[in-house]
Amino acid sequence: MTGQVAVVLAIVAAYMLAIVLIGYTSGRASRATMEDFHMAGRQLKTLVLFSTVFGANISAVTFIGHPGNAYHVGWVAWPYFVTSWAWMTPMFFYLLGRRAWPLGVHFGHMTISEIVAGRWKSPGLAVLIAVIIIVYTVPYLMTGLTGAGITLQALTDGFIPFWAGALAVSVVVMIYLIMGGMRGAAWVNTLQTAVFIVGGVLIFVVIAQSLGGPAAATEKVIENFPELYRRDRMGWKQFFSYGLVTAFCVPMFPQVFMRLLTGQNPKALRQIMMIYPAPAFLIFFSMAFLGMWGHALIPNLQGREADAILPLLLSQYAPTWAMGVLGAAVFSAMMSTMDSQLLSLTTIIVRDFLTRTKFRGTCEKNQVRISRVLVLALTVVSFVLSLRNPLAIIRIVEFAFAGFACLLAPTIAALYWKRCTKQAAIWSVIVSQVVLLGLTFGWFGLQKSWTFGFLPALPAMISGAGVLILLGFLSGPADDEGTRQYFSFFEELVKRSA
Amino acid sequence: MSRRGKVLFLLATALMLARTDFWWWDETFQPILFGWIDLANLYHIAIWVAGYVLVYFTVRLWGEEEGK
Repeated sequence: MTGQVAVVLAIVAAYMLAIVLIGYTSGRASRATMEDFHMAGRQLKTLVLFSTVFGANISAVTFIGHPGNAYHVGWVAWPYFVTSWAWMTPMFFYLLGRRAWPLGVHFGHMTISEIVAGRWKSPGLAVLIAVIIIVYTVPYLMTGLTGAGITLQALTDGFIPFWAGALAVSVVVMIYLIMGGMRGAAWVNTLQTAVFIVGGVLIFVVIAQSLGGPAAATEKVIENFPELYRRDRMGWKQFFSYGLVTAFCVPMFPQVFMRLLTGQNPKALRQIMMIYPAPAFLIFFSMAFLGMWGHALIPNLQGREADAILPLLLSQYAPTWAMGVLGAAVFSAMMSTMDSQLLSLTTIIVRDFLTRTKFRGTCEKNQVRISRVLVLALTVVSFVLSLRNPLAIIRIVEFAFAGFACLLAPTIAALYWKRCTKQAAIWSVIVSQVVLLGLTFGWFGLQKSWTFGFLPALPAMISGAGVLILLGFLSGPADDEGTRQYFSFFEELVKRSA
Repeated sequence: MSRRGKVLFLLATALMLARTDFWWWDETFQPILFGWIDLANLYHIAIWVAGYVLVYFTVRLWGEEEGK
């Protein structure tokens, strides 16, 4: 082991120890109730709420998959995400949060399935949505571990193998999550989010300086790989459809949606909306340029090899101390998403499946114990799956994001469209998922070429929304107990604020 | 949703459509700002700023709806 590797490992180890300590300390204030373990008692204030929601959103994609994508397609990678998601997601916080948050407080709902299916009191719809969310969250969860393995391997020049990096991150996340639940994770996320925002900017400044400044680095790209400075490697149809996908999917991430419900009040939600777009732009803009400059400096990386471009740049162009600190920033982004995904999957399994079985009668203390065991089991499963991950991170998330985005239309309908029926919501979910899978993999008699250059998510979302509207009008108006309960509650809210 | 809310989301839809600058997608631009930012980059920065303004007005609207 070289001195450089020892310094990097010491800094990363110290950082992980600090995280475990924060998780342990904040976990001591937790009570053994489901509300506390999964929702932190719905008492998070603005700063912690922003950190945990933003941390849940910023993942291995940002520091690994996104620069890897920019390595292949150029600077266009940043508006690919930022010119829709960075500002559209906070607007959806308003659209969904202003109704979902009070519903959560009033009815004790914790998951997307409970909020949506609670509208029609439909266990079938709840299970359908829960299964879809789990199916798309697991591969997304794997990308965090993949990113951790790639990063530590590259920063230590291969001294720490891929599996050991992924294992280290799995163990740390599991420990603070089991000890502190949502409350512990939220406080850890506060540190992590601060570290990755500041670290992300530092990474950019340190590497840009060592390359002679942004202008010199860009000039190298224009001279040697002009197609990256133009937009030859990405068509506008893909750009257009992905903008819709990223804008529509994030509010449907279970880890983001559920954390919106943990806010102390709507004012906290409004305040995080105002903060959100700024760091989102800063990080994605800087990481895309680093990825593009990386192509001129370390050419010939093929396919998913480019996912290692940021750690490779760090190891070759940053001083040793900076590599350790900046490595911690990359880990922060990955762990903050992983912990929220693990916790949200646990909440979904307990609330949407186990409480519908004979576990319904079990006391809260036991439900929290089961939740802790589930965190352990899900971490092990994700770690094992990450070792077999064959695809580039950006390809995995593009598919998973599309699956989440298809759930937005029925969710909005559940909260706003009184006429909409349970049948319309169920068929909208089924049709959009069938179209997405069919156009992506060529299943169900559908062909990949039918997307005409757009991403399969676009026709999937349109067909899901079309079915929802058509069946909503044909089978409506809804006249069931759940609908009456929700909409009389909304009317009550309007009266209270008037 | 109030009329102002609907207007905000209509503007958001227009911005989502305008973000895809297909009309000059294949053109070659040279850096015009700080030696590394070109016109297409500036266009996308402007879209992000416009989106931020929409978020600001949405937050204000929500505050007024809550009566705070």
